[in-house]
Amino acid sequence: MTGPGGFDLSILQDWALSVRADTIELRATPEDGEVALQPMQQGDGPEGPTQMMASLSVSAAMAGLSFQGVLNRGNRGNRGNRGNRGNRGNRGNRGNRGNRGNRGNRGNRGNGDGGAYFQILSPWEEREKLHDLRAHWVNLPVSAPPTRNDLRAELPVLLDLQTRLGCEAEAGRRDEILLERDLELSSYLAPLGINGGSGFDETMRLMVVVAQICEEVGMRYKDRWMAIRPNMLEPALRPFIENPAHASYPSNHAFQSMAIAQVFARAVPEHPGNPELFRRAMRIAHNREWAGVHFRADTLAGFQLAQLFLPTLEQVVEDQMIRTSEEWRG
Amino acid sequence: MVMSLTPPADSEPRHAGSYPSYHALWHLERLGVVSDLTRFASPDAWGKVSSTAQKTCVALIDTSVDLDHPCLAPAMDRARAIDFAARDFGAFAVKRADLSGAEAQARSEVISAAATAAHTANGIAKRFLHDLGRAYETHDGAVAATARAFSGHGTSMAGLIGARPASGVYLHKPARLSPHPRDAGETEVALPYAGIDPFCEIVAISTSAMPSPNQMAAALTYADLIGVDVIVLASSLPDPTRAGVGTVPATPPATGMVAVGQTDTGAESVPSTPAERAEWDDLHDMFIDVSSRRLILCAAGNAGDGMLAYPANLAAPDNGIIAVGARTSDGLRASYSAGGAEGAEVTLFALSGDAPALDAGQYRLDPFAELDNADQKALFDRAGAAPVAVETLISTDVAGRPGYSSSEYGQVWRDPPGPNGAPVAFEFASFFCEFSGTSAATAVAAGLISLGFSAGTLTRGTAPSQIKASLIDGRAYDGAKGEPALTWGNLGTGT
Repeated sequence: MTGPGGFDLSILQDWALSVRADTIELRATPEDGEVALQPMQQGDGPEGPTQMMASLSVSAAMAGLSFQGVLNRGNRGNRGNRGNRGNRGNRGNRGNRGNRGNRGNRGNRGNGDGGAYFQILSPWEEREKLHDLRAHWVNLPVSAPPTRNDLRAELPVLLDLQTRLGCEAEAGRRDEILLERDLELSSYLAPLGINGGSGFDETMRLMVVVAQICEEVGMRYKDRWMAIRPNMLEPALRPFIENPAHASYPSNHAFQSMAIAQVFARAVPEHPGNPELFRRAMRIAHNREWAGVHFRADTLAGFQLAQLFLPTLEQVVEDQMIRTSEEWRG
Repeated sequence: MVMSLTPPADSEPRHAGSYPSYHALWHLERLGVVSDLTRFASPDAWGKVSSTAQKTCVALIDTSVDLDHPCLAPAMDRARAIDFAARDFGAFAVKRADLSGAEAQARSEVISAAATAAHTANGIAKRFLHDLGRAYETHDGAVAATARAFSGHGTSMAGLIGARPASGVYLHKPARLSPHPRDAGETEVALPYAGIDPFCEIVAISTSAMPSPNQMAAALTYADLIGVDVIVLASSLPDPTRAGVGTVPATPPATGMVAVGQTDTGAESVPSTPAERAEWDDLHDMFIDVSSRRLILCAAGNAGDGMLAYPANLAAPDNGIIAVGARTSDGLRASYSAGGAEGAEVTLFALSGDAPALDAGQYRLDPFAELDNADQKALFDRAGAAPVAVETLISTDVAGRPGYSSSEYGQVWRDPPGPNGAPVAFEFASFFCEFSGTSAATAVAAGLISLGFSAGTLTRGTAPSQIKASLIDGRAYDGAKGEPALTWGNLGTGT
């Protein structure tokens, strides 16, 4: 029996999903419930034995068809070591192989200089996927760098930022700039509420892997344009930190930080800290302008590249993103 | 054997970790969409939808959606699904080469409509429509970031609104369960899940959490352009002046506390420039403007801290924005839902799941959770303690390991396929999930309103503010009880 507008109502009549806590059961519902389970009962209805036989033949085919599964919490048992030790039969399972915790350290939290660092082994699987998808990211339509005239026009802003950076009010920003030279995670972890470094290894690994992947991709674009650093255009600029050895456009800090934000927001879209994570990423990028090592145009190009690279990136780090979202779902 | 939908209060012993069971589609009966959960009779709702009637079109501004989920594929519009996360002015989710003839035609119509509309538009809307109107050039090479693996939230929203039951799905039967051990096989099953309006079509407009007013402006303009009947926006936008980060006393003569934005507290990581604030102002005006033509359903917020999310807090009697709060199956406002505080009232409440809460203001505890400690059990006897409602909403989920429900299998579909090439899944539970919050409540409200249009209870072309007023129908507000609640029965007379 089809319902109006074309959906098949009989599916709902013949099958039922029932839920108990986080277990879900799919069951075929026989035509006449009571009769199907007690085939020895004699019906008293006017239809008599004929009806009984008809019900039996339907129910014989359908009765007992029932399947169970777990909602939402899924693979809990496999996320820790213990669940796997009992599960030898599953070693072939992709689901368990994804549980890096069984094979050894996910990564090492470092103390550094008070910042949050996370060292990982070389992400060869992600790099392999990145290069398999090379055709999708070698020629992204990033805008070309501005002309020297336009860059010259940006210099007064940088000189102003340089002056303001020296003031007492910006002492915090100076510390941030020094901390953010290498990939330091506290700015990303803080809006997510996990800047204490406990139990969120997959999230931290995701951020580090994204940063490493994007560093490589961004370097290719930098080498394409060989753009000049601000204080090479205007030596009177005194950058707060040393110029990195690579070209200026696009800004890898902007690219990496925005990519981290984009990727995390895709993996855990309901996290209330996502907009703030984006804003921190923008702050990290903006701090590089305060430090005098990037033009505004470099930062905007980095943001643009992060957005253009996102569809490919979410395939490259897909497994790590899924592990991250499982980490938050508990 | 007959499934009891409302488990008797004493159906399971307390504190033992044994929970009552319920039908996954319990909410359809509770809302009055169907009259029973065996025959699914729906004489005044589903029964009223004519097969020749114009399909209700719902714009879902959310994450991407899994367009291939068996229960969603008939509902999702593939031609017009678009993504604004990977490109500010949008990239279509399905490549042109993968569209059928009719779908390609539908997309061409959208593009021409955009080109025409660009002439009379202003500001960001004009720039977006101008870009979309020349999509054959501008979208060349544009790739959407709509991987199904990260489409969990949108998939669950879409399922509640408009999923259809799916047949012709097979479950893999492992060889070890067969009488002949070498014989793996498959069993034919069905996925018996239905949304509230299984006749609507849903256009997935995917956005990201990037605090970019222009991204949302483009999404809204797009929803307006394609002429949808309802717009659903279950997220909050980080407008630096309008999204509340705290409450301060109102300036006299007004009394009470008012929400204040990030800018006013001086807490911004990146100070908003005047140009950026102007863009947010334009977005605000666009919300008000679009809502004068189409209903915009917004989630009220899950923080339970007395503040409404933005843009839900724009709801007013003279516009078509509806702030939706969550109400549990026990007839109380959900513990997490906005709408309890004075001055931060929602427009309507809709059914959703519940959650435990324990603070000075509320005492909502789960009576069936396992507890062996006498002190903890005694908490349930305190004055004002209320049990957490048993039922939560069930919706569709991205199949396999991604999404809210996981899977112990690495693949969703078995290779080789089943009879006649039918798809064979290894398990079924990962196709569904528990979905709750004011997001789910917003989806429920959207499903009801969509069904109202489909069944003719609500009339297209009626002013959204008027539809809103008829849904409220003058009922008194009660934040504790979650009133006024939206159900099929009180969808109002339309007009």
